[in-house]
Amino acid sequence: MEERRRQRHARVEFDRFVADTAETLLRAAYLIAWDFAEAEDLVQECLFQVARRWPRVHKMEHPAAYARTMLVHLALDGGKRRSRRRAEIGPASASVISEREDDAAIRVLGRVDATTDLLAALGELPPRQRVALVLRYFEDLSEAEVATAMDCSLGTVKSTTSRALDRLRGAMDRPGRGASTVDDDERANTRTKAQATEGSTTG
Amino acid sequence: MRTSLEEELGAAFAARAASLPPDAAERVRSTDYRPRQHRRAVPVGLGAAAAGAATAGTVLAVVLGGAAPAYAGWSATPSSSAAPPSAAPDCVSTLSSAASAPTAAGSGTGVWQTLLTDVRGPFTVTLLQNGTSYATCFTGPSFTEVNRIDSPSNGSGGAQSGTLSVSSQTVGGGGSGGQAGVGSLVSLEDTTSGDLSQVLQNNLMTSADGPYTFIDGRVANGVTGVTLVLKDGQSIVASVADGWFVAWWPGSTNANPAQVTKTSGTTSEPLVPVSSMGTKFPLGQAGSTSGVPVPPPPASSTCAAPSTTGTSSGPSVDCKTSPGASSSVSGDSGNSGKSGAGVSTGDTGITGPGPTTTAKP
Repeated sequence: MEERRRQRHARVEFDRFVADTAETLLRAAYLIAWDFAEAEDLVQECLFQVARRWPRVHKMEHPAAYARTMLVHLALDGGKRRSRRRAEIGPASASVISEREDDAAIRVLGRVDATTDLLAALGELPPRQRVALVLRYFEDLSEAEVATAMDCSLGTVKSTTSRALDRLRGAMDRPGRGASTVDDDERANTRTKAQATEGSTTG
Repeated sequence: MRTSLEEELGAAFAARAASLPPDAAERVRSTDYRPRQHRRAVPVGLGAAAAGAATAGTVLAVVLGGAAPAYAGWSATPSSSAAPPSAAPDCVSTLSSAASAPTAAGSGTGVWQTLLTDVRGPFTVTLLQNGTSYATCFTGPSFTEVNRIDSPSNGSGGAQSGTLSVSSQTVGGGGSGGQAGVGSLVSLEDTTSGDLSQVLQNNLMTSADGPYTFIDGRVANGVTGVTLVLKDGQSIVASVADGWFVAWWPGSTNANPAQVTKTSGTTSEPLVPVSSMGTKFPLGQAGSTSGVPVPPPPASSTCAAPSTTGTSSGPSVDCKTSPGASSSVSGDSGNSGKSGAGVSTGDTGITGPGPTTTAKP
């Protein structure tokens, strides 16, 4: 009787956990995978994994952080496969898909200029770089927290983030792209800072 | 202090996140994840008796409170049952009725035929083909599920994704209540020797027992056995017949390499992602940038039914579309992507570059 009550309680707790975290996980997964269906797959797989470990996970201080870490690992593990599938559908078709999704995002934001370029450039980033940016600038995690979630060193987070930002700047500076809202001084300052970070990491 | 690019980045992420369909989160929430329950404490006397007299497996069952493990009764080697229990009629009925659905556009219009049956304990997997469409019928003690590579043009958000996904349907409405539209991570692989080709590994799940991995593909003439070595070291013996091999195992660990048995002996052959076998070339074109030979695209003659020496009724392959012709891979093109050309990476009606073969040779 007691056992059954405990099991029911665990089930209720897990259902509540899913209700609370599903949307957050889905948003993060969507930004990481850059794809609706992939994001759903990732979150479902992540929650299945959490469910299998629930007796242990629910005792953790931050089960949601554990789930996010699980999601990141699944995303990074599957990143190569996703890249491959994108390659298989061909760059032209992939670009049409991205544009359609980006249009939706831009409508929400109500801005068309730099955001268009930024979203396009984000979609072209390697999964690992995008994960670092999502965790840092969407989830607002500290660099140390990003390192924990990505299971890598602080230095790797800094260099990965720096390279991703450089790549975004480069993409937005490309001829034919819309003007970036980032001014030149800002670019120079950030570039210097990034180089310094890169130097301290590698040195 | 954040730079304006970093600020802009946060805003762009937020905007994109806000563009998620409102029902997407609900779909994720409504899945039954079946959380594992607390472990039951083992009574001291029972534990001692078990330790003294029983096998490790028995002890494990006691520790887990008697709960049946996922896919209980599954074996790494297929049973050699001459007449496997078949749920194919139910599956065929389900597939036939689904064929009229909008998502099934492009599927074969003929009869679903059995290519190969794999029996492991109480579980039976039947590989079925209808023209250019392929499906698996997966039956267990408490469920019967039909999976096929499909096109959720309305459904799990795949319409814009270009993602290969597998739709799943529970037959008969009873049992576990399998969930429709469960996504799948798919990898398309070959061996460089060509002994195994069009190998597709799917990470799937049933709501009754959780994740499982399904693999199928073609075997070259002379291949008599295939054993998959999982990344955790476990070996799974596949069922091989009529130019096909099929295997599955609980969990989401993929297999690599494969041990291929021929009359000349057994060799271990890595499974190589198809797209890395000719990275700079459209899939299906011969050529290589990495020194790895790329198999030529299947010639039209390969569409002929393979020599049937086994017991099955023999695949009736629809070769209406010749290689090189552009074909619509939209909809449930089955495993047509396994041709290596125009891989069905999505449900968006998008064809990959290069020649496209919709028929599985």
